[in-house]
Amino acid sequence: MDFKQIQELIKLVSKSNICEISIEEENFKITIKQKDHPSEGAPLVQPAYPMVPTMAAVPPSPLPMPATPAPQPAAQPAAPASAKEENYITIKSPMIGTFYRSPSPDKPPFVNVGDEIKPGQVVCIIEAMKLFNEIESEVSGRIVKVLVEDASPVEFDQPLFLVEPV
Amino acid sequence: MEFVLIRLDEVDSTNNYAMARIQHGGLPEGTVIQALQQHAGRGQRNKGWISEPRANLLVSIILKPAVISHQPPFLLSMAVAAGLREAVARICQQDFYIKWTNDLYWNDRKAGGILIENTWKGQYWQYAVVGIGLNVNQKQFPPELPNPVSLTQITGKEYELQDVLQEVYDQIMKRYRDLQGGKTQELVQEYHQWLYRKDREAWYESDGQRFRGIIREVQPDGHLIMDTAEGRKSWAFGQLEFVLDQPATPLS
Repeated sequence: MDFKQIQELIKLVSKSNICEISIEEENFKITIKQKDHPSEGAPLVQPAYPMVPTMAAVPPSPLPMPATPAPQPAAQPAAPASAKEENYITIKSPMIGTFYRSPSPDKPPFVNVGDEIKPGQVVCIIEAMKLFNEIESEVSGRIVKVLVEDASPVEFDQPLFLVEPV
Repeated sequence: MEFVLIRLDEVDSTNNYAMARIQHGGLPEGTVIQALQQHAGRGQRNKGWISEPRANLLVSIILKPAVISHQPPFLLSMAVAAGLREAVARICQQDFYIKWTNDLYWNDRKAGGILIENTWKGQYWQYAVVGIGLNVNQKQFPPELPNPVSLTQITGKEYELQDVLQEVYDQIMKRYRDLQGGKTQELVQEYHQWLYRKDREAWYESDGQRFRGIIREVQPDGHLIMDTAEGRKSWAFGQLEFVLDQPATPLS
């Protein structure tokens, strides 16, 4: 890890609600703590996690995750927005690419409308420049709507699925 | 470099096996899955990969690229392609090239391919499974393959698969570490130094139309930049075919 990366990391931590992050690589270890965080000084019990550039410190393990994104209203309020609909969560594309609903053309879709999903479950593949990206859900819920046609192009942050929290 | 090796006599595909294994966690970064034979090896979506039993290098490397989540994922493709190329160039003492996006070429023939599968949780890049198929000791190929070649066909020598694996692993991991350490420019430069048909006029095909073009650059997001008679064009993977039956010519 070079100086610039450490700088970036400090910036990210200070912008986030992470109180402490610790990273360990070969011959290298760094711990960054937030000054005014109440848990400062508490002993660090977790193993070193890889750096997370966004908000949450997520260990690369199959442990169940808390649902991090705040529930947001549906992207296209075409129908009259009922109180229920406003509670829907969208799963968005993390990149530009081509959206695929199944692992290969001869296989069934990862998820269908009505299916219950849980954090860590694969919901689709986005293919970008021959990189195949399995997108996992961060949330628990039931698929209400698939917003994109199979094998069609998607933009960064484009809503892919509408999920009703359960 | 040392690494954890899971060696399988036969599997559908090392990438499928690796993708299933990472669901359970517990494998250290850099773990290699090797198959002596694959019966459903995968190229790009829909395309199979054909291999004689025990003749070729069929491996997947498991990476945890969280640190580079904010970088274009295509840079990993560049790093792996450059590493594989350097490894075989050293082993064979020959010039090999990278055909956009990440095929391994010797002259106008394909010696190997790369298939990368990632898992994402939100914006967090959890795993990359880097699948590599390299033709090593295979002497004959099915006639339906357009332009295959193996290392043994190039040099006349037989190779120990484990020696080849070690060199390939070392060169790829070195570049992966460079990427994590922020040495992106060197990597992009190396990729372009060995980019197949760069700065040479050659034939391409798109939407059934054949035309001449000169590859200039591959952008960090993977787009190919090409000069044509109609001006400068940018291609995404899958939009452009390389016409292989007509050789490229150096620019005069």
